Parts: sequence; C-alpha cells; structure tokens
Amino acid sequence: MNLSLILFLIGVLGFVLNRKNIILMLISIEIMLLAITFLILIASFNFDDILGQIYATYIISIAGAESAIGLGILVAFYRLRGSVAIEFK
Amino acid sequence: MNNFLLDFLALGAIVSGILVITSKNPVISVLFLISVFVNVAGYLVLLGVGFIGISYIVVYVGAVTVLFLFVIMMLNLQLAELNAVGSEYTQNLPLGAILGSVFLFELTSVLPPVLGQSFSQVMLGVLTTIHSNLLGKTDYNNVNDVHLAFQSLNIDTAFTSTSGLQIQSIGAMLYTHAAIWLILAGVILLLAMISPIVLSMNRK
Repeated sequence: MNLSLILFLIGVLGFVLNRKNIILMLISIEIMLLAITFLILIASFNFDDILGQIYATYIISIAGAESAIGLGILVAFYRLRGSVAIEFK
Repeated sequence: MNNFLLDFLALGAIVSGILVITSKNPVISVLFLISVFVNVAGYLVLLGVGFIGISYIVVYVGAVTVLFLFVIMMLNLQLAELNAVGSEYTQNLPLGAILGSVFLFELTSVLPPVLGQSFSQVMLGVLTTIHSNLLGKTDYNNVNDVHLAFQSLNIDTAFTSTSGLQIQSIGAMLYTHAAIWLILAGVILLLAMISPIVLSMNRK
C-alpha cells in the first residue's frame, strides 16, 4: 500500500512540477494509473477476491486508450504549433 | 528471501519513478518508465497475481511505452525548449509542496496509521471506519469477517488449485458477470482507434 501511494505521489508531483514538457505530463498520468491499479490489485489479493483483477483488466485497457488518444492529440498539436512546448500564461 | 526480493523491487520502482520525473531527456524518462513497469510487474508476479503482472509487461512495456518512444522520436523535439530552467522550475515548487502535503494530510486523516501494520490490518481499519460511520456496524474483528461480508453476493470467486486456476476464474468472471463492461471496454478501444485517425486527418 505504501508503494502505490508513493508512486501516486510521484505521479502527482511530476504532473505539477514541470511547466513545459507535455510528454512528461502524459507519462505522469500513466504512473498515476499504474499506482491506482496496483492498489486495487493488492487490496483484492489480500481479501482473496477476483473482482479486483477484473477491474484492473478494465483499467489497463482504459489506460491504453488514454495514452493512444493523448499521443494523437500531441501529434496534432505538434503539427499545428510546430513545437510541443506549452506556455500557460 | 521472497520478502527481500519484494522490498528490492519496490525500491527499484520508487527510484525509477523519481528518475522518470527528474530526467531532462524524454527518451531517458520513457526508459525509466519501462523500468517502473517491469519492477511493479515483478512485484505482482512474486506476490501471486501472475496474470495481471504479465499483462503489465505485455500491455505497458510492449505497447504503451513503445508508442511513447515512437512519438518522441518521430516529433524531432528540441530539448532546449522543453527544459524549464532556473526560475521557471522553482516557480512551481510551492504548488508541488502544497499538493504533496495536502495529499499526505488527507491520507493520514482518512486512513488509520499505516506504518508498522500489515496491509490486511490497514484495510480492515478502513472498512471498519467506513462501516461504523455509514452503517453503524463495528463487529468486524478480523479480515475473514469482511471477506464473508463481501462474499454474500453468491458469486463463486474462490480460486484454489482444486476449483481452477486464477486465469480460469478471471475468464469466467470476465465473460459472465462482467460481460457488459467487456463490451464497453471494446467500444472505448474502438474510440481510441478512431480518434487518432480523425485527429491526424488532413482536411484539405
């Protein structure tokens, strides 16, 4: 449980602390999804229950879809702006 | 020996995660992301959650991070414009510190004290807290009571070596009780296939 919470915290901090790198934001989202799935898996394993693994299967497929759409948006953004650096001012 | 390996893999996952968010080059950070996934998958396989652990390696390492590497190498990024320097980097440190401390405060106020307890005790404490707040039920004394409380749905989710393998019970649940969610996940994956095509279509 501590491992998944620390990984989630790493994902949140990686999302917040970078200002320009949108690829690192997508990677941080992947780390957060991994941490949550890991927490669900450990909890369901400790209760000897199979539903957590079913749920983890769905979260893995949603994470794959999310990264595909995110990278598609990234490529479209690069073609529009000529750069992936983001400025939020 | 097994516990030592589990701790070693957990340490490797955390160190690789920190290196992911601190490295300057996106390619290096994706390589450390692969390291995080491999460490967590090894942890799960050693713990006994074999199928999902191997699925992690297949899906994340085989598909997602390769997709990341492909996009990063295709876009021909300029490293100088991605890296925040000096005041730009320290500008967000207070926000990060506030978010991290709020996160830890919420966890320590919602969860019972985590360190030094086994995971089952922690989850039992969480469930007892929630049930005593919502339902007024406080008679859970050990984990087996909670397990029986959740098992009242007459779904046979017990998997032992006599009643079938773990992957058999996953498949049985996936195609019977959870079939509608499987179809929904298929529709979402279809959406994930269509939307990059629509996004990258040339509208001239």
